This record gives sequence, structure tokens and C-alpha cells, in this order.
Amino acid sequence: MPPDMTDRSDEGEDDLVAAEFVVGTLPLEERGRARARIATDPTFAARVREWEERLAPMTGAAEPVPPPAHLYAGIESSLFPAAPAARPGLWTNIGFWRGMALTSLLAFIIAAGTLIFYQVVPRPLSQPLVAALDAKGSDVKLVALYNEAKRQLVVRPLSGSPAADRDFELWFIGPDKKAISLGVLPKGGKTADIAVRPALAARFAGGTTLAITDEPLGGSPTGVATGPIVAAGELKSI
Amino acid sequence: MATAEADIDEKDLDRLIARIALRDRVAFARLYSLTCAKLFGISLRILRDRPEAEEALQEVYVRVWLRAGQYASSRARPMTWLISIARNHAIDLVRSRGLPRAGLDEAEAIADPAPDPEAQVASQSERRRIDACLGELEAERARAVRAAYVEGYSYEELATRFGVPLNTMRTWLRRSLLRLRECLER
Repeated sequence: MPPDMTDRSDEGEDDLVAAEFVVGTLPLEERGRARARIATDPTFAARVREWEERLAPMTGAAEPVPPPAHLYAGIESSLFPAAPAARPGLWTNIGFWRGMALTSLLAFIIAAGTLIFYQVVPRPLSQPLVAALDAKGSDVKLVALYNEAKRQLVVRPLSGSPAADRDFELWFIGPDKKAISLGVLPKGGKTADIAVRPALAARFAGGTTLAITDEPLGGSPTGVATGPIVAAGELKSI
Repeated sequence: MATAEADIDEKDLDRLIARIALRDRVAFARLYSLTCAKLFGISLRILRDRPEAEEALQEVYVRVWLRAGQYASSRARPMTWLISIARNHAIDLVRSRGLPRAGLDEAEAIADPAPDPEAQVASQSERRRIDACLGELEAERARAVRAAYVEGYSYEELATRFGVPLNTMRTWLRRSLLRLRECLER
């Protein structure tokens, strides 16, 4: 260190190293040491942050330059390798699902779901969640798969259907036990494909519960579940 | 005169990064379109090689996607967070090349603060403020600070360029940074 530094205290020295790290002048090895300190020393990390904020306006001297248009595709393909179109097959074959006991179903989904989902989103950037929905004394059984990256919830009925003058309504139940409606399920054994709104998607994580209630046509008139729960299950990460 | 895009709204960027943390690809595409020219410009100035800067930019946005979840706890302003990812990556690349870069002589015409009327992001007033504070330093030392921060010069490269011993350069730069901070906090 030059002998004539104006600030020789350790704190002053730390602050200067933080500044040098941000300016970028440190040789590779010292740069590595500074980076290790950022990871382990919150005070030092805070100093680095302060210098980053302080000096950032200097980047105004670097003219913005539009990168070539193809670049974004390269970023996307390295983050989200091409998804094959949704695969028909087992997932859409209702007979296959009906033939399975619900208990073995979950184990199957965990195995197969991993495969199916990772073919669509091959890297574990998004964590698929799965739930098997049923209830004691009810013949209503469904499976639900939630794709976090797409905020897409797919609910497939396996057995049981509402009476002609009733609808099944799907609810999200968070840790606070409040039920939030995700909408009325289509009738006739059709799969529901639900786009979850961003605010709610933030709360989807392992440990939340999906529930189905029996409601008047069009769903609960009050926004609060009125009918009995005919099936429920916890969302678990695969 | 500022163009319509001149000022990227920080709150918008904040929201976009929060949505990216939730794996929202639409938000990611939007953030890219708003910020890629700025970050590419920064990377190009440091790397001075177009193909390398293009590759670096891809890596920068991969990191943005992967680290978006850490953004909230970083307590950084959104553009500063992005700039830091881009600059750190570019500087790591030039430092790990080891040898001083070719073309330093041609870079002589380093950015004296020819004010850029369409400067994005750093609000005009922040930019003016740091320019004013750099203006309080001796001209040569201000150039050294800019060459380091904007062009990614190492101490070794700066010492060669300004014809002073390495330790002297380090002392210069450190003093300049302290004065700069003192001025910015005034």
C-alpha cells in the first residue's frame, strides 16, 4: 500500500477496496478475494453496494448500443430449451388414470410428472407442483398439476361429477386457511386449464391446498364456498 | 432533449424483476427490451470486441433470470443491480485474459464527458452531478477514473497509459475516489 494514503484505518481501507472492486481496477486475484468477502461479510457487501450506487451514473458515458436481434433468442434457448408441443398420450387418456388407485396415482405422477414436465421445461427452473384431490365418502377424484413458469394450473377430473343443476368450484387455500376461488370447473369430465393470476401465483408453493366444493350453477354466489368439500389435496413439489 | 424512452421508470423495472423472480417470461422479455441496449453499450466499452460482448450479454441476462430472486434482498436500485451484473461480468472477462489489451492507444480519445443527450436510466441530474464532481478533480485523474470505470482499465493499464508507476496510479485513483465520494455526499 502506498505510504501516503489519507485514510489508513481498517474501515477506510475496506471502503477503498470496495471502491476498487466496483471501479474494476483490482487484479484478478484481489478481485477474487473481494468477491469472497462480499459473500461472507455483510458490512463489506454493503460498502460495495454503496459504491455501485454512487458510481452507476458514470455509465451514462457508455452510449447505448442495440444488440443484434438474434441475441434474445439465444438467451431464451439457453434458459428455456425448446418445448415440444403438449404431448397427447397417457396424460389425456382418462381410462388409464381411472384404472389406477389414487394412492398409487400420486407416486405415479411424481415419477411420470417429473418426466412429462421436464420434457416440457427440461431444466428445473420451474418447480412443478402436483396434487391428488379426493375426500372420504366422496367419489370425486381429480389430479392437478401446476406449472410455475407458465402460471398454469391443469385440473383433470378422474371420477365423480356434479349434479345437473350444480357446479364444482375450485379453491386455493393458502396457509391462512382463506379460500380463494380459482373458478368453476368445466363439466363432462373435461380438463380445466386455468391461468393463475400473478398475485396469486406468488403464493403457490408446496404446502398449499386445492379444494373442490359443490356449488350452485355458476359457482358460489357469494365468493365464499357454500357447499361441502367434495375433494381436496395438498400441492406438493415433484 | 430526452426521448420518450430516455428515462426508464425504476418502479417498472422493480416490478419486472419481481415478476421474473416468479419465472415470468413475458416480464423477462420486457426487461430485456428496455435494458439490453444500455447493458450492451456498457459491455462493449469494456470488452471492445463485438462477438465477445454479444456472448457476454447473453450470459448477463441468463444471470438476471437466475438471480432475480436475490434482487429484493440486495436493496439495490434496479438499474444499478443490472449494471453491476453486466460490469462485473465484463471486467472478470478482461481480467482473466491477463494480458493488457491491445488497442489501448486508439482508445486515447476516451470519453471526455461529451454529454450524451439521450442518456438513459441514470437520471440526467445524477449524471450531471457525478460529472460535476469529476470536474473538480485534476483533468488527468478524472480521465483515469473514467477509463477505469467505463473502459475497464486495470491499474497496470492505467499506469502504462498515464506513464506513472503502478503504485502511484493506485494512490491517484484511491484519492480520486475519496474526493469523488466527498463531493457526491456534499
